[in-house]
Amino acid sequence: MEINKNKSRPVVVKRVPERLNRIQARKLLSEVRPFLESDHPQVVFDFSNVRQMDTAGVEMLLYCVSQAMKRDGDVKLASVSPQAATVLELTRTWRLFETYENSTDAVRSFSCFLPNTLRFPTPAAARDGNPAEKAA
Amino acid sequence: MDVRAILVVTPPEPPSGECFAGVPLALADIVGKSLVEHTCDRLGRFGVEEVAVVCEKRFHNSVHFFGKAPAHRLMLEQESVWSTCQGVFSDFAQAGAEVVLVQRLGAYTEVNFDHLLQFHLDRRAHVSALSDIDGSLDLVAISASRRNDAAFLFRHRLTEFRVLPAKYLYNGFVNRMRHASDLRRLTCDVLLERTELRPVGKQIRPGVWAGRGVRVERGARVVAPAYLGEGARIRAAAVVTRGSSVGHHAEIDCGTIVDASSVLPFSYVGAALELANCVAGSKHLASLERNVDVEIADGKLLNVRSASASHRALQSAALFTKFVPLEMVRGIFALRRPTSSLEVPDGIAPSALQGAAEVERKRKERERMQSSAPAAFENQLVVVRRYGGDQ
Repeated sequence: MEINKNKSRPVVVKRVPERLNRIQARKLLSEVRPFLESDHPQVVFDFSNVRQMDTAGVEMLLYCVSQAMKRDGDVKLASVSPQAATVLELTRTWRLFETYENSTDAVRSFSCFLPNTLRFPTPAAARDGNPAEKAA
Repeated sequence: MDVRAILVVTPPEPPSGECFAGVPLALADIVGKSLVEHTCDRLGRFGVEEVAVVCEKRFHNSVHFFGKAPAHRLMLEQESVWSTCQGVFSDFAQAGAEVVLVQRLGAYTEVNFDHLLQFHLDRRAHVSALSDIDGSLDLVAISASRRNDAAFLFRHRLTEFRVLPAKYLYNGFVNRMRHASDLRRLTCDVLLERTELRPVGKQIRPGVWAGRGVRVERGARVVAPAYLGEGARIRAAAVVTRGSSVGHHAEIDCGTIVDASSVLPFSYVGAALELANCVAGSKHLASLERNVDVEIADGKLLNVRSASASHRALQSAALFTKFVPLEMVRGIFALRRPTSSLEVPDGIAPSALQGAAEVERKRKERERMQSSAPAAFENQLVVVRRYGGDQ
């Protein structure tokens, strides 16, 4: 676990294990909980290693973000692997989080807006032009 | 150099687009201002002395509804906007203008007007027309002395020229604003800082802009990048995410998710809904994935809020006074247990009745199993594995 201090508050970066199941989620939560219970918690989960993730992992993320929001903080995701992204999209939790290419950008995003590093899907219809127009 | 501009808001006939819910996209709100206002601001930054906005009179409600009136001269015309443009052009020429820029909105471009004017002067052209690889962008620079050329151009709605114009090929940012999807794309581009436009308001968190008087209730989540217009209200447990924009004085009710969508000003979006990839407002919903525009008549789903603050306050008070006695009545009658009617309506299929009977039988069986303690296995069941290695 790394703690980066920006101008005002520390940002905690936690690397998520390869398999995020119930046991690992509990362990992860117990490690992160002290930070979540502090004032204005700022947590980044690094998902680069994650290859498997189940609902317990999703629940843990939702719990973390709800706790962070209660204390006017936030939880952001970085380097989300395709496997984890698939599960997050499936459970429709993807859009609740800001996701970044890497943890450095995620940490910096707490102090300034980084539009180029944000993993932000542009709607297909808007990106590819009007479907009706294309069909014509 | 005395440069003046005429902005024309006259969309083509309905099948051609450039409208949403009967309102030109040029008048729709994009992160705090309409395209007309954004363009007026840009022209002002390039030193254009006077801008006349000529708009069809049938859209006068939209001018008021979708944005504040532009700071420049606004003309609403009943008959033909193009003949009005001709009159305005003559006025500008008499007032000493040297070059008049005429743009039909339409497309949003970030052309450098200084370069365009320099090109126009260098070529000693009467008319210079802006275009990109996809065609004309409905923006021309006309020398003020060329009234006949201008008159011809206005008569043909900027599509035909009396003399061959100098073509200024533009390769910068363009959004043709033909469909609601273009409105979404421009909003995303602004929020991701891919254009010169900036959201109107303050950045309250990195990537989240909010106008004055925005109310985000406890438990609501706003994920960057997002824009909340002046006086917008995000109620509890609502989520605004993935480049969404909520127009000024719009309201997102409890538990609703606004995902990659634009909510136009003075709109009310009902509780526990999910707006994904769409443009909503003025009782219309354009789904960008399905490419349909749906009119929503049910005010509980999508409604229009009054533009008058006092009217909105009165509406809220009326709702509150209605809510309290209604809840009291509900509370009193809720004491009575609902009884199931034995009469089955004719419309219910026999198969559905069988299904209901099956569910009822299983429920009774479950209750019986729970009440009979200790639970016992039926005779035909055998324990085949217990405690790991034991068999």
